[in-house]
Order: sequence, then structure tokens, then C-alpha cells
Amino acid sequence: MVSLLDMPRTLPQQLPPPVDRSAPEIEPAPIIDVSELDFTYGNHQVLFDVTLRIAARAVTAFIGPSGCGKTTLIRCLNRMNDLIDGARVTAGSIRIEGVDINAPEIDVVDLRRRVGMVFQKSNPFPKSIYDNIAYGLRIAGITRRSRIDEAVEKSLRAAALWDEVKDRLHVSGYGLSGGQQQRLCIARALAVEPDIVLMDEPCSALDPIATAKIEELIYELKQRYTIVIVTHNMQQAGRCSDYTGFFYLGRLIEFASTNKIFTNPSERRTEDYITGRFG
Amino acid sequence: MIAAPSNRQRTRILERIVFWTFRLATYLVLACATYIFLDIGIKGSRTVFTSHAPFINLKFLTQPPQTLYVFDYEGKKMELSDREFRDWKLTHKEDVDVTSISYSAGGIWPCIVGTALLVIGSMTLALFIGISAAIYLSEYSRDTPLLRFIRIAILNLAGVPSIVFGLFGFGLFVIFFGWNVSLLAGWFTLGLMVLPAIITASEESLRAVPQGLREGSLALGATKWQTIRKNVLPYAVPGILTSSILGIARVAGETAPIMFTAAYAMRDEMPWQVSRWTDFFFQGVMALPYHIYVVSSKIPQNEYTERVQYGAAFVFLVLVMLIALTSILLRERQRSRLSW
Amino acid sequence: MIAPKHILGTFDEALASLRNNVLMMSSLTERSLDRAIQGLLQRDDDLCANTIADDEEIDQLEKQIDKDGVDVLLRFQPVASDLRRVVSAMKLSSNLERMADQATNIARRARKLNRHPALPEVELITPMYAHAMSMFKDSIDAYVREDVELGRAVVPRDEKLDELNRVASRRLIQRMAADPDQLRGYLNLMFIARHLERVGDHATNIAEDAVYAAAAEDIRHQPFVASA
Repeated sequence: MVSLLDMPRTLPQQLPPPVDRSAPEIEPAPIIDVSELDFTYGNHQVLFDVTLRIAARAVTAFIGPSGCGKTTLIRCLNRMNDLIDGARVTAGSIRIEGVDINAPEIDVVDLRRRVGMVFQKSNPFPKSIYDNIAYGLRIAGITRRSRIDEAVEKSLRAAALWDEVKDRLHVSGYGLSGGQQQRLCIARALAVEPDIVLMDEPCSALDPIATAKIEELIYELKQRYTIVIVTHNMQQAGRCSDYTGFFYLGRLIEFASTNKIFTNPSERRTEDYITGRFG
Repeated sequence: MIAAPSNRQRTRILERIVFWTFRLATYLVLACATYIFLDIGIKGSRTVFTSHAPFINLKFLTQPPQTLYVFDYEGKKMELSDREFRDWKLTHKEDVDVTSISYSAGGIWPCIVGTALLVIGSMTLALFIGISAAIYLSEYSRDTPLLRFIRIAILNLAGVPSIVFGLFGFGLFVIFFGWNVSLLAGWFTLGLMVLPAIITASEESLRAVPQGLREGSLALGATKWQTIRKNVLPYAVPGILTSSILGIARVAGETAPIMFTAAYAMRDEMPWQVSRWTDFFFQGVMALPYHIYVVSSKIPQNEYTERVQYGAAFVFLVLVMLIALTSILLRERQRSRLSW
Repeated sequence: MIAPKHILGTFDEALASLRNNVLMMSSLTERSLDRAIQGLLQRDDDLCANTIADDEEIDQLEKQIDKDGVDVLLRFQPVASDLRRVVSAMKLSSNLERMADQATNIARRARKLNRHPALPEVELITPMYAHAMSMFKDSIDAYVREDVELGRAVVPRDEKLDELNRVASRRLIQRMAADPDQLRGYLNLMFIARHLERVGDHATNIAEDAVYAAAAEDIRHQPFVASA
């Protein structure tokens, strides 16, 4: 009988370093710099002195109870709040790559091309899948068919939808399932090659499998894009994001790496919210 | 607790009464419409359709109105139109006792042409101005007191009697602008008349387009006009076309606005017979509703005039229905291409 | 520091039930250890028998706590302090079960020793027992009251217990050499001392888990300065 001790053993020369799944606490290279931001709708202030920095090529999640201002903040980043009468920044600034996006000389149209958005309720246009994705390109002035074909395929691949729709590109976008529609909206946003993608509760209307596919997609996308996601689903924030900001009543209560927020938050209110003690 | 039997009976009876009231009201409407259509249809078809090939009285549809001469000759009753009578006179030199009845021979061809021109022109004008106004109201404007005032003004415009439009058009376009009785004056007057309906319906159609389409488009870096042009307006078009159906019917059928502004009782030239192309816009035309009015009230009534009246009314109805049908078909085609 | 209640009442109930089970298990373990040592010191076989019998109950409690813990993780997906509490409860139950096994072992050996005349070296056990039990009580206290300082203070005391064990072993080996007839007895005593040293190790683990649950700090496997 051969003893276990006699068997040849090969020890690895060098043990691999332990995998550190927590994002570093050191200041990440920020691409968005929000500084002491106050935001008001009409007479009603909704954001108070918000300061945070969003890291490039990482996923940042905003969590908080309803009405805490997280959707307002994310819509400030691509100035979609401009569509609402009386909504304006009353103090502070938002800088993207060093440029103040609320300065009067900024071209909002260009900003929105570089900061894309995916909405809570998926809103594919009542056009074919192909035309949905080509829309952003065409309004930017790109009309060459070959270029558009290329971009459509590229975006659909990036959104993990290509294999499912490649032989029915001229079918209406409404013929897809809910999860596929949302991925179509993501592909549409990616087609114009933004740097930053904002997602406002992208999975709240989807079933668990569709949600999982989108979370997987987010994980892949963050290698190339900076992603900011607003979510009500704490587990999703915990799974998907590298950094998390907790908002309450218009203020940023805590902003840190996701691992820290969900294992050992510094603020009492953060802990109470994430453990389901209020909100 | 089950209701007492008498209570049950009462509610059941009430239900039946209410149901039958609604049903009878509908049938009443149906009956009126049927009577009108049948009346015009039967009497009018006597004029429009003939018993021999090609089964349509082409003379009625393609000739201008002429005076009818009725007389007895050698025991036969002769009914000849103006030209026919003159030709007959060439061969029969004797004097005959003729009764002449205006407008009762020939046809209504110029009226058809005139109405068509008026409808096309005024609807084009009304749609252009109306849709533009609707876009402004629904997409660009903010809720200020001025805006509310504008909306009230539009609503009030809808309630203005058509004769007032006629007088307004007469005073402004015919006299003040110096256009005289002309197509232009008619177009503007009719266009203004139908404008409130177009604006309201277009605005509704624009509002029916979900906000998500606008936001999605803007978030991709489109300008506001690009968004409207490519992502909102195309989807509002079916609704706008529907609103134009009612508009066409109204524009084609109103007499009062065109009475002083565009319509002639009798005109010898066809609208395309102008010396300079600019004269085209400044000429008056004959129009179906006005012709019916003239034949019905400006000349003594007899069996011959009745023929013309009903024939004209019948043709008129058919024309409007055709236009409406076209609009509906267009709308269905648009609608089948997109849905949400 | 009383945390406000969870919005989900069932969550609070589940956590409370888990905690109560841990407390019950710790008091049963304490009783087992106590009985085992008393059985040894007072040469009472009944106490030993009871200890051995009660181990069954403690084993079942361990299974129950693990099952309940997984259930809470599954149903409520706890985060932050809740998560740490559940995970610590499951680890505690494992340590307590091992401690109870040590008590059973002590009881078995005590029974064997009781068949023979008493050995004076039994005295060596008393201070070890006192030290181990105080470590145990403090570690459980630190867990219950979420007292981080208390938990941290328990860890270095294990060194003292190890020292006591080494001293006792040396002494017993000397006795074994001098008096070979009583070899079995001395050997049993040595094992009992060893079991108590293991009890101290488990108490240290419990203290480390208590600190983790309370402060999210993992103080295991750190080189520490010997206590004064």
C-alpha cells in the first residue's frame, strides 16, 4: 500500500496572491467630480451639498429610499433635468473630465452623446431594431450604410443581444421581450460611443433572469465604460457595483467601496437602511 | 343579504329601460342619417345614373351648368340645354313657346372642380398652420398666462359661426388685402374656420406619443427639433389624419364662408383657363354647396331644378365620402406600420 | 446599543431565535464542563455519566443553529452587522460543540480515574480549569454584550493556559517516571489537562468571532505581544 506521504508532491513555486475582491479605499481616478451640489425644482430644494467623485471604468451605485434624490442626481449628470421647468443647479458644480457641464458655453447635445442614459421603463422606439440603434448615429450625421451596419453589429454584440436578433434586425423593437428591449436600449445608448453610461433602475421592470443577464452585461461593460446605476435593489447594488453612495433626504450620507458599505458601514443611517431597519 | 324580490325586479326593469333608451337614441340617429342618405341617394341617383351604358350621366358630371329650355313641339315635350337649343334653332326656324329654367341643364363639372380646389388649398393651409401651432403648443411652450389665453382664443375660434367667418374673410381678404373674390380669399377663410379643430386634434395626437420616446431621443444627443421630426411627429400623423377627415367634410360643405369670398354663381371659364399663372390664385370659382344654395333658393323651384339639386347633393356626398375614405385608408396604412 | 427593529418582524424573530439557541448551547456547554471537572474532583461518577449523556443535546443544538443560520441567510440576505452576527453564531456553535466534546472526554477519563485511588496531582487541574472557564465565560460575555475590548482581552490569556498546561505536563511526566504503577492515572490526568487547554483555544476562537461580529475586525492569526 502506497502511503500518501510517499506520493510525489509538487508545490507551486509561489502561491498566487490572495484575491482581494474589495475595491481599494484609496481615491480612484475620478471621471465625474460633483462638488457641493445643490439642486432645486421650482421652490423645492432636492439636493443638499452633495460631494462625490465617480471613478472611471467602474460601477458606482446610488442607493437610498424613495425621494432621496438619487434619480435627480443621476439626471443632473447628463442634464436631463433641463427638460423640467424650474429645475436648476443652485450651488456647486458637476465636472466631467474637468469640464463644468453647467457652464453656458457647453453644448448639451454633445454632452448627452458622451453621457448616455438607460431608463427605468425601457423605451425602444417604434422602429425596427436596426433603426433603433441607427437612430443615434443618424442624428449625429452619419449616413453611410456600411458604417451604420458595423456600428449596429458592434453595439448589439456589446449588449449581448446580437446572437438573439441578428437574423431579424428589421423586426420592430416592440417584438422583443422586456429584458431584450432593455438590452436594446443599452445597445442604442452604446452605439454613439459614450464614455459614461447612466442607468436609472434598469432592471426594476424585469424578471429575475432578464435582470441577471443585464447584471452580467454591466459587469462586462465596465471594462470599457464608466457606469453609474441607481437601484432600489440592495442585493443588486451589492453584486454589481464597485462603489456605492447612500442618499437620504437629498443628502449623501456615505460614499465608499461597496464592500465596506455592505459589511461595515461607518454611518448608523446607512447601516439601518441596508439592513432593512427603516426606509 | 339577498335583496328583496321587489327590489330586484325594480333594478332589472330600470336596467332594461336604460338600455332601451340608449338603443333607441342610437337608432334615432341611424334613422335620420338613413333618411337623409336615402332621400338624396334615390332622388340624386335619378340624375346621376342612367339606364343605358355607361350608366353614369356623364353630361351631368362633365359639363358646366346651362339654361334649360322646355317647350312643346309637335306633341313632344322637348327639354334642351342652351347649346342644344341653339343648334335646334338652326334647323327649326319656327317660334316656340319656351320656358327657360336656369342651371337646370348641363352639369356641375365646374362646381366639382371648384370645391376640390377649395378643399385642397384650405386643408393644406390649415394643416400647415395647425400642425405648426400644435407642435408649438405641445412641445415648446411653457404654461404661462399668455399660453392659457392663446388656448382660450383657439377654443373660442371653434365656436364662431361660419357666416361670421365669411364676413371676416370678406372684410379682410377681399376688401382690405384687395384680393377680391378669389381662391386665395376662400382658402384663408376656410382654413381659419377649420383651424381650431385641426390644432386641437393635432395636439392630442402629439400628446399621445409617449414621453419615453422624447426622452430616449434627447438622451442620445438629439436636438429638440430632431426629436420632434423623427421620433414624435411620425407617430402623431395617424391621429392628425383622422382629424383632417372631419375638417375636409366641413370645408367642403360650408357655404357661408365662401359666399362672399370665393364663390361665383356662374362662371364660364374653368379655373385653369387663365392668361397668367398668377391669375390662378385670384380668380373666384364655382362651388358645390354654393351651387346647391343658388339652385335651391335663388331661382323658382320646379321638377327640373329639383333634379339638379339632388344630383348635386348626391355627387357632393360621394365626393366627401371618397375623400374621407382616402384619409382613413392612409391612416390605417400608417397605423399598421407602427404600433406601441 | 439597541439597534432599532427590522421592518420585517420575522427577521427579528429569526435572529432572536438564533441568538437564544447560541445562549442555550453555551450554558449547556458550561454546565457540561463544570460537571465533568466536578465529577473528577469529587470523584462522582453520576456527574460524569450526566455529562456524557448531555452531549447528545448539545450536538443537536449545533445542527439546529447551523440550519437556522443558513435559513436566515437564504431568506433575508442579511448585510453588514446582521450578516456578521449570523456567521458568528454559526461559528460559535461549532466551537461550543467541540468544547462539549472536550467535556465529554474529560468525563470519560474522570470515570477511569475514579476507579483507582485519588491522585494528589489532580490539584494541577484546578487552576487550569478556573482559567479556562473564566476565558470561556468572558468570551461568551463579549459575544452577548458585543464588548470588543473584552473579546480582545481574552485572546492573550490563552498563552497563560498553554503555560499552565506545559507546567502540568512536565510535572506529570516526572511523576510517571518516578511512579510507573500509576502511569495510567497520570496519563489520564495529562490528557485532561490537554482537553482543558483545548477548551481555552476554543474560547479564544469564540472571542475572536465576537470581536468580528461586533466590530467587523478579523483579529485571528495575529502575532500578539505576550500579556503581562
